[in-house]
Amino acid sequence: MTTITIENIKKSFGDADILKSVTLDIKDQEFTVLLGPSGCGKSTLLRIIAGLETQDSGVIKIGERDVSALPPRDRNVAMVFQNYAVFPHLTVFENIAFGLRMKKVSDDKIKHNVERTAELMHIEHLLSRYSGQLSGGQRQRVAVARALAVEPDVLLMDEPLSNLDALLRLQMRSELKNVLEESKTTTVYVTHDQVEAMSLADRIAVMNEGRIDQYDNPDEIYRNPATEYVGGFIGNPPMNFLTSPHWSNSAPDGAQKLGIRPEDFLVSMEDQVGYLPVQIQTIEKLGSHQQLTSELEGQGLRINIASELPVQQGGILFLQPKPEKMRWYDVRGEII
Amino acid sequence: MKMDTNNQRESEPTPDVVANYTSTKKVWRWLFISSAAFLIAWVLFPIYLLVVSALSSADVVNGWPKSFIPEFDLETMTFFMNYYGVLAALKNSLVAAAFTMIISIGLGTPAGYALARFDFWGKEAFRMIILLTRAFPMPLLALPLAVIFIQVGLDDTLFGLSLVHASLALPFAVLITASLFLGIPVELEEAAWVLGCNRWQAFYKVVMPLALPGLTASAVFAFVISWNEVFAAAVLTINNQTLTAFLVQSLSASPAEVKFAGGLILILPALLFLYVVRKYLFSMWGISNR
Ligand SMILES: Nc1ncnc2c1ncn2[C@@H]1O[C@H](COP(=O)(O)OP(=O)(O)OP(=O)(O)O)[C@@H](O)[C@H]1O
Ligand SMILES: [Mg+2]
Repeated sequence: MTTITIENIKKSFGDADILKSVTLDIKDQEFTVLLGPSGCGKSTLLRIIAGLETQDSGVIKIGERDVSALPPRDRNVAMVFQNYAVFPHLTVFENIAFGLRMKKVSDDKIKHNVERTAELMHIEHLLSRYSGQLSGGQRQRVAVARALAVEPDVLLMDEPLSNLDALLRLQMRSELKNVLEESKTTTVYVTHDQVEAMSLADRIAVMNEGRIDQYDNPDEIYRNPATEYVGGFIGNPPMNFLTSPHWSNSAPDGAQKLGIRPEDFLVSMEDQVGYLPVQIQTIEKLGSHQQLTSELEGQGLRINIASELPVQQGGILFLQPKPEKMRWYDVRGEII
Repeated sequence: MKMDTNNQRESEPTPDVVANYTSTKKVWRWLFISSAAFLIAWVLFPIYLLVVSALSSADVVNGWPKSFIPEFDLETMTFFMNYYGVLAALKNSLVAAAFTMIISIGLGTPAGYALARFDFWGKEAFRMIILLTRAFPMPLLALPLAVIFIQVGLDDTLFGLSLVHASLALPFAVLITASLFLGIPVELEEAAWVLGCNRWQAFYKVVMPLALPGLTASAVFAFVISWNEVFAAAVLTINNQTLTAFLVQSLSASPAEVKFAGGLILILPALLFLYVVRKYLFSMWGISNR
């Protein structure tokens, strides 16, 4: 239950600059998701917060405490690893109790805490088992319970759901959200799954090659991507980016590209004023809507339209972006 | 649909093929069993003969035809055990082997851990040099070592001998423990660090319990290496002879039945130990016995 301040963190491995000056202010009790493609440095940043990796420069504060030079054990953080890292030689009970025993907490309190967190994670019937006798999902629950049992200031999770099957992942996702809301622990959660990020996060930090492009709530990230990269990473299909389109008369100074989401078009079957014709290349019917791939002035364009519109492959459709949904990006790919 | 059934029929093996297949399988099985039996006999037969001879009276051992059934005549064994110097040598062997075990585990474990967990300058060279210590044959090393031991006053001590034996056992200890530690995920240690352990605590609370079976196996391995070693023991000790050195020197002129008794005493602890840790040796070599 505290804030995390990350200031100008830099880290390189050999010649490779993995983190290029990362700054983040995470609020008390906030659920922050670090989102980015594989290899962008999410785990590295998380491990630096945990103290498992040492930054080259920069400051990490947990609350008012500068923990930059402290070993992991003195940071009062807890971490859930991608492969769970449940100790195989200890029972589930002893796994959950591990951190408390290290803190020399009384046996009564240990028993109480272990049972409470086990209940929270619905594993109270597994306390005497060993990790070899658990399923992946159960192991995952043990790992989270073990982390919560120590009542950490900060909870760090590195792709905790990625080893679960799709159904279990959905279930654990909503359960995690509830549990963490209840525990009021400031959480940093790493994933490369944007749906997971959108559904869990209070704020998402989108990482791109060792930088944070945008740190904002999911709606804002979706509606106003701070950079071309964010727009192109988030959304399925992602935002369209058009160079010098016909609709440029409303463009601000320095605008290079128009960013527009596939669902943000006004569509017409006939030519109208301000509408441009596009040629439909492929149609994917998705039930709730149709997803079109089309071409406008030699540039690819993805459009989502209502499922009842009678479009045909190779046919022509007329469209105009909704003015309030148009976003303009400059030469460096930043929003204007 | 038609295509499908066709395909199915084609991929179904005809009875002929099945019969052929099972008969080749049978041949392989038979080959496997007979070679296993041959290997087992290869190892067990000499041991069996040794046991029979050690437990038989002198007349039977030296007589003809040989008997394959032990008489359980303990006369030879008793004679051997009472032979002057045997008990002292037995004790010396145990002490030297215990020292060797302690030294090679005490040094080998940290070295193995370092090889498994850290990237340091010269790591590959270190690995090579460890193996190189086994490149020099003991006969070549024993005499210079004896000279050095006399100079520093380690000659004819069990500790000095243990040092030499440890140098034989250490390469194995280091490489075995390194692969043991490599098999234990770093995340387990990291989880322990985050939960409040320092490096040492994480090691003995998490890594040690997981590595213990393997560590035991490599300790026993060190024990057996020292127990079986003859050359250095014979050259480096005079009054404090180990059993192997004693047998080589004192028994060369003894009657056959006494040699057999000595041989049995020599191989017993090794067999016993290997039996006790066989599970870990198997897991160490990636063979599962379950
Ligand atoms: N100990 C290390 N030594 C050298 N390079 C490393 C080390 N750890 C990470 N890297 C490199 O740093 C980059 C970022 O790694 P990181 O694990 O932070 O990525 P990530 O964003 O978590 O990716 P993923 O989604 O695949 O887990 C990678 O290119 C990786 O190869
Ligand atoms: Mg990662």
